[in-house]
Amino acid sequence: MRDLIAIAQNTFGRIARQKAVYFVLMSSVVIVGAMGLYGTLSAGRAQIMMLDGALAMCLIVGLVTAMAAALEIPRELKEQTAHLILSKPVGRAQVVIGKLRGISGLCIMNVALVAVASALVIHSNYGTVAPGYFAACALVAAEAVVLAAAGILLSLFMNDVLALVGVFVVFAVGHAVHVLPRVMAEGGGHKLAVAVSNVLPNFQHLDFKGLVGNGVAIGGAVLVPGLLYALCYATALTAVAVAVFQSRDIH
Amino acid sequence: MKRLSIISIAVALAALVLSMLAGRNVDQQRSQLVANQAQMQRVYLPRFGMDKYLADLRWVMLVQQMGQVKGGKITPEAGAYFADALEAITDMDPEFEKAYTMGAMLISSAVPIRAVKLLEKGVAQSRNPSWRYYFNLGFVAQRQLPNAGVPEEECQAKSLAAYEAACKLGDCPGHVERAWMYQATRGAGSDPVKVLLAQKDFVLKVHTDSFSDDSDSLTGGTNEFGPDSGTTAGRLSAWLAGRSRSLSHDLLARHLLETDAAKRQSIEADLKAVRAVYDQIRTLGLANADHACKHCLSAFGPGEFYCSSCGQEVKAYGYCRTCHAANGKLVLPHGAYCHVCGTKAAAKVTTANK
Repeated sequence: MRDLIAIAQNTFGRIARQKAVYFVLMSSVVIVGAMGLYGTLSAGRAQIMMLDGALAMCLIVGLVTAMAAALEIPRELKEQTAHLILSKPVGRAQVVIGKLRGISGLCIMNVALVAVASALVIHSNYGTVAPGYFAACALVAAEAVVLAAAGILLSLFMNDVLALVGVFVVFAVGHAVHVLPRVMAEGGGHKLAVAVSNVLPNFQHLDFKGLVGNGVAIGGAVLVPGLLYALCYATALTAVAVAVFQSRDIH
Repeated sequence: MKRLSIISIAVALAALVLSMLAGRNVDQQRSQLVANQAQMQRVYLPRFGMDKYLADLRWVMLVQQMGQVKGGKITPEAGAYFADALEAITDMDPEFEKAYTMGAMLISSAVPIRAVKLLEKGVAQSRNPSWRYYFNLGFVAQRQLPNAGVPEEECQAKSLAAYEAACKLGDCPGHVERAWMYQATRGAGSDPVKVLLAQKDFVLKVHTDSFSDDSDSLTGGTNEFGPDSGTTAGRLSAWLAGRSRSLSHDLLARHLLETDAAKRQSIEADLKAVRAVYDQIRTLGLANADHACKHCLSAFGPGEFYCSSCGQEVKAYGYCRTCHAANGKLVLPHGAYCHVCGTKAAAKVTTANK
């Protein structure tokens, strides 16, 4: 367990030291603040735009942070630091889980930073933040954790650039897959579409940004199963990644 | 290459099954929150989970493009472009009220059929469509849709149904209720007295309907300002009382200037009809108008013996009769008793709407 925590801390610290991360965080909050100036240009929707902007920025920050997962294991294999770790009494499962924990922690922290800073900006302008805003942000952070798990899994099959593209494809497909059963509404295709939308990551389960932006308060009834979905799906991806990493020959 | 770990695969499968169950639970919770099957089943191209934010940005762009329309006149081509953009925006955010209501009004002159479709889409997809959707739908159907070759009767029926739906929501402003009344009585022609009579019949029908159907939100109860002033019928009848008053002023002025005896008789008949409308509304308690001149229907205040508008004698109220009879003083008591002689004042009275 101590080894796992050490790997997680090391991963967290290395990515957190990158200045680009903080540039993205600051830019996100500035964009949210700028949305407040769009009152006239949007015909009186500045407050809604700030809220929508804040949730969208949380998602972008979560995605960008999760993409680091796709670079971690290929980088360690390339620099041969993985060999050093694996020469010690550390299991391969611990390496994969430790990496995921480190990146997931960073995803959650970055999303939380943007969420809180944006909430402060919105509150300073309008004196209130929409109910359910933080629940929606928590689900965005959960989505980032799933993406990080997907990134680690993909990085075991592909080189770092392809894995990065793969994470983005998972992100795009995950947000579109829920429409598939509706497009194929009839016949055997519908059953296949439902099966595909169950097996592929379905980020619609974690996407309540639209509803919160339209004034619907989401609570524990949505948050708990949503987080559970993310946890289970990330566990499934990590288990596959562990199985693949354990079966892989490292030279 | 080593063999895949059985335990890891088993964990992965178990976690996948659990995630499916959790996902199904989320879907159920979502359908309870949205409770609008049209919105739940919409087919559209998702935009990376940022649909609503991108809809906002597209809307900002569209507002700028709307501002660039020269002379405020939209060509059919520009109208079709705006309609496509509004369609895309409302696909991304099915509850974007401004895109539906403001956008439909913008494109209604160029592509009225698409404006109507856009508003109908808004009504179908919104969780709680406001009166603006229905009012704008009624307006476009009434004014613009006939220009697109849709049969006049069909347009007017659609408009009437939309105005009625807007009024039944209960929180609509007075101009929506009046639009409903105008549309419902448009068959009365252009004679203002005939229109007034038709409007009176309409208000009475609304009043009757609102009491015969408890589920109808046209009944808003009573409040301290008078009977029924919180209902559609009450508000419309208050407006009708004012309309009767102004119409009686017009008729009196015409009567004064008219030299032809036959026409004078016709005007007198009209005046009688207008006064009857006013009396009928007042008798039903729909309009808060207890003290009005019987001749010109103008309101008068306490202690007034003659109408300030037409000069006719009126039945004065709100003054101390004891002081007036004893020494000719006109005292207007402010409380329950006269502050000069101590006589108990008459019951509190209300004045007509001025």
